[in-house]
Amino acid sequence: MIYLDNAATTVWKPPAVGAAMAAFLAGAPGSPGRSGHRVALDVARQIFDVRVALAEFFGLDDARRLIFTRNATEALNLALHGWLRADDHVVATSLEHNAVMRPLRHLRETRGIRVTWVAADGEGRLDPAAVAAAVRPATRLVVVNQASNVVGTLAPLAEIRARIGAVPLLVDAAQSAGAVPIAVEREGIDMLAFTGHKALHGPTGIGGLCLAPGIELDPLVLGGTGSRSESDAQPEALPDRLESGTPNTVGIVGLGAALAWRDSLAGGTADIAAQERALAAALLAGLREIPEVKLHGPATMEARLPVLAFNLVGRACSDIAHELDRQHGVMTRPGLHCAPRAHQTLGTFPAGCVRLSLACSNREADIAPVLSAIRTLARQPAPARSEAP
Amino acid sequence: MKRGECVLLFPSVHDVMAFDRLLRRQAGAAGAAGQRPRVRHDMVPTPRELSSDCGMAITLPCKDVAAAVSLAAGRACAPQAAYRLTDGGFERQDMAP
Repeated sequence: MIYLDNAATTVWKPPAVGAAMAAFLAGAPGSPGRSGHRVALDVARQIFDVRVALAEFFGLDDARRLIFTRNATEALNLALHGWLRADDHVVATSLEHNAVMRPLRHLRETRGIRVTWVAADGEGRLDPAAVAAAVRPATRLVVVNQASNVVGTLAPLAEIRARIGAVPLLVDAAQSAGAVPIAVEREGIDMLAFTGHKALHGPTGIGGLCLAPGIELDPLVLGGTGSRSESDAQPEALPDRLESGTPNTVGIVGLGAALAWRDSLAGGTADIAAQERALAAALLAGLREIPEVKLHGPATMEARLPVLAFNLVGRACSDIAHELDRQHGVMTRPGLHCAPRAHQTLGTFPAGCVRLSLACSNREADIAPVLSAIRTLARQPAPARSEAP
Repeated sequence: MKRGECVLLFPSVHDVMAFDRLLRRQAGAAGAAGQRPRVRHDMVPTPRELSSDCGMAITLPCKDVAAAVSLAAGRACAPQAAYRLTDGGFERQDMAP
């Protein structure tokens, strides 16, 4: 089995992640901050430690401004719903995931916000000048997907930040958190949404939103926080204001273990990224040698995560992915990857494409069998139902 | 909580944990140096008589309030208020050194 669907979720987790979660559940998984007894205190301390470690990892000085959510989608919804007001103008890019596109459409229909979509080029590269040119006096937010989940291209965040003046910047780091170093405050990012289960190699069900100083949001969910119980008003203090309900304690513990694993590596995130990019470069070079392969996205691995996209001429991407799995044990993801506008940009809408996404769990020995499988498929007659992409 | 003790109130559990960590680290450093910890503290549910943004609080001897608060000087986790438990109930306590 060769797993190349790491952009959906990484299936390899450091052994310490499962061990920490199992130990937590087998111990005393109490409710943090709701009581003063020793079990509640112990869990509250564990959550505190992970929040502080994550804030440090993302370059956020005040850990209270790291808000735990279920995933990047919920973090993006919290950011968009909590920040945008009636008639606000938003600039977003054509590489956004539905986790951004759908909330923006909803807010356009319910609050009358206006959205300007800035198109990337046919390889998935953004022009910072085009993003800046879309900013108006009424612009209250710029939203940028730091790494395309379809072709892996990294957005030129520094250049965009430098060109959009004081307009707040929301970064979707669903793919990039753990794949590239991120320093929220130093890089001028106002809000950063991340998930734990992709490149951070943590469990599903836990993510977060980093808030730079000065960014205050309305809550997405209101309710019990273990504080000021006599009042029916939502507390003002962070993180409580934005974290109602019992948190995913076991998920937080698992994510903390994933972060500790990363810290234990001599080269950290940079070394992991270099290893993954080298494997992707080898895969990309091999794909270019197969005449039937049509690659999408940039021709090189420069400023790109290890995410490749392709089609085989004359075949539906769903058939390719199915055959790769059933005949060759290679797991990929076909279709539109929840990013229809990105596929329009790349010229692969509505047919979609096959995505190959690597992680540090992939090995050099994976590359040749994958290329061999694609070469074999390319030379087989297409099934009768296949449609040309 | 005993009469004569003080309780520190905070805006969130995160702040309680941050303050607790400061005190524990100070105690650890003192222990490593063969000294007694400067402040002995405990974490408790916020006394019901006191209105607080947070359901947890920190108790400590009233004589140690100023020293404890000074540890948090310049940090985000400074307590909002201190109260002393007396025979007549809780009385506001000055936190200044």
